[in-house]
Amino acid sequence: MSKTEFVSPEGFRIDGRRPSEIRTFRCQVGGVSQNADGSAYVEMGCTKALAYVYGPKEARRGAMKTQCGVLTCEVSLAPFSTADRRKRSRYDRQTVELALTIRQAFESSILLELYQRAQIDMFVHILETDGGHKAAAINACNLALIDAGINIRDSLVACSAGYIDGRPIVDMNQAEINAGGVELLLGVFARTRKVSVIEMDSKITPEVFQETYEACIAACRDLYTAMETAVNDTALRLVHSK
Amino acid sequence: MNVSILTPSGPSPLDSSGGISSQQQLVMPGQVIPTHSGYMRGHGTTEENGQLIATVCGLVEQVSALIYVRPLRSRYVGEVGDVIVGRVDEIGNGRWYVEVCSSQRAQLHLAAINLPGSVQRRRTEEDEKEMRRFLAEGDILSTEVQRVQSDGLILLHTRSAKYGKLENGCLVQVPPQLVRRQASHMVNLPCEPPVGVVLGNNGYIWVGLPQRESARDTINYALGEVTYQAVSPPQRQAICRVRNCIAALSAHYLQLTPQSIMDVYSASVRGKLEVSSLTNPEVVRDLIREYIKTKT
Repeated sequence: MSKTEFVSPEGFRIDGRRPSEIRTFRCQVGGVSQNADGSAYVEMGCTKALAYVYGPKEARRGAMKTQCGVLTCEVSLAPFSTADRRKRSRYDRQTVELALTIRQAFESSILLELYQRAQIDMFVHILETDGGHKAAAINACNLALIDAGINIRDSLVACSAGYIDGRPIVDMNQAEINAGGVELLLGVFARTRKVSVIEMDSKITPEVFQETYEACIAACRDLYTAMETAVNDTALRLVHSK
Repeated sequence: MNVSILTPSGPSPLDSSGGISSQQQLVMPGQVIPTHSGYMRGHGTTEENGQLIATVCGLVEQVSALIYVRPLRSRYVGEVGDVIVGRVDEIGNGRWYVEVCSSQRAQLHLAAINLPGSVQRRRTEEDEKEMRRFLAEGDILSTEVQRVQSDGLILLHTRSAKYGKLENGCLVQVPPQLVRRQASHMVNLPCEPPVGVVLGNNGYIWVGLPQRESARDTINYALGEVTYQAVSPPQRQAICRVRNCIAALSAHYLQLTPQSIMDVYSASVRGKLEVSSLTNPEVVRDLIREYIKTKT
């Protein structure tokens, strides 16, 4: 049997996308939860994530800081979200690590000095994973923070990219990840293009990295356009009904 | 048993009625706000490399040189003189900690209330032990913002007969942006029978029995003490209808004023809608459409 072809000679990937094309991006800003101050739902292809933001509210006694606010993040991976059905504990290594990544990323995005003695809680639920669930989680958090009206310096957009068959491909799905190539996760600020999150486990040459990195940045820009439209539409609807 | 199945719908199914006025600009976090020289930076903005940048999603407002962004949704930010409704969360240190949907719990000092029976004197330790008699945990009260500290902490007072414990009614929570400062926040709506409403600027709205006229301010001040009383079934119906009308307006992000609440209320009475049916999102949508039609 021949090796699976990830990019066909015509330049299409297994799911019919071009190498630099992101998956269908759908999102809902707000209205996902009645109780949360902000909420968002994000779909990147088949990867689905929900984010809730609570706060700013008074911080717990132990965690309270007088100079700036406290940010917490909790991630849960639904038992039915992955290929193997498995219930994960709250202290599962994978989710705790992702929560930490998200928290650190948004600590640089939120103007925490405005929220003295307060606390902002972010909860992410990953409903389905088909590659790139970390990126989906970060994007969902960003939208939920905007919905909650929390002061942020800039929108944080995240996307993953890989390098297969001598070319970079963006927003990989699970089948492409399973090929075992490079996987780069990038979270960048939309306006300043500053990188806030970067994650990669493979060893690659600087040239390959450069190429993958640039493809990923371009994908983030595409994602931001989609997110911006969604936020704008939601906001306009609110303004109009007023 | 009645089973109703609803079609999925977004936050607001209203047709867009009119655009934003030309002076107002909708911005997103990270977006650059055009400025003129000598401007002042207000809330919801930050400065980077000499550019003014929005940090929340909302409308740009300008008051002479001051430029700020009014967010479409956020928690309550205190302003002196606001009428707010809150729930007592904790008692300690000679103060009540009141939950008011803000970034920190507001504080009501023992010295910032009027003691019952027109007593004007220093607060003693005895009073501190008796605090729970005036307001216990879970009690809902109407108050006014006396001072806002630099870190956003809200200090409250109830030194007027208008303010104090609320009873015989229910609380509705709406986004704080929907309750603007207006001429009167405590009104008795001319429903049948009348219903009292306290529109808290923090988005907590109290709907209950009408406020008594006797609670008036005098120099020596008499406390308009509220006590639990039996509420008749028609009165309950009216309270629930008003509550559902407020929830309906809030679900469609419409401003809450005594007038708008009354308009929706009358529309629901005119449409002969059951009070319980006003919890159905589809009925609510039609009701709000009706309300907007009559308004324009």
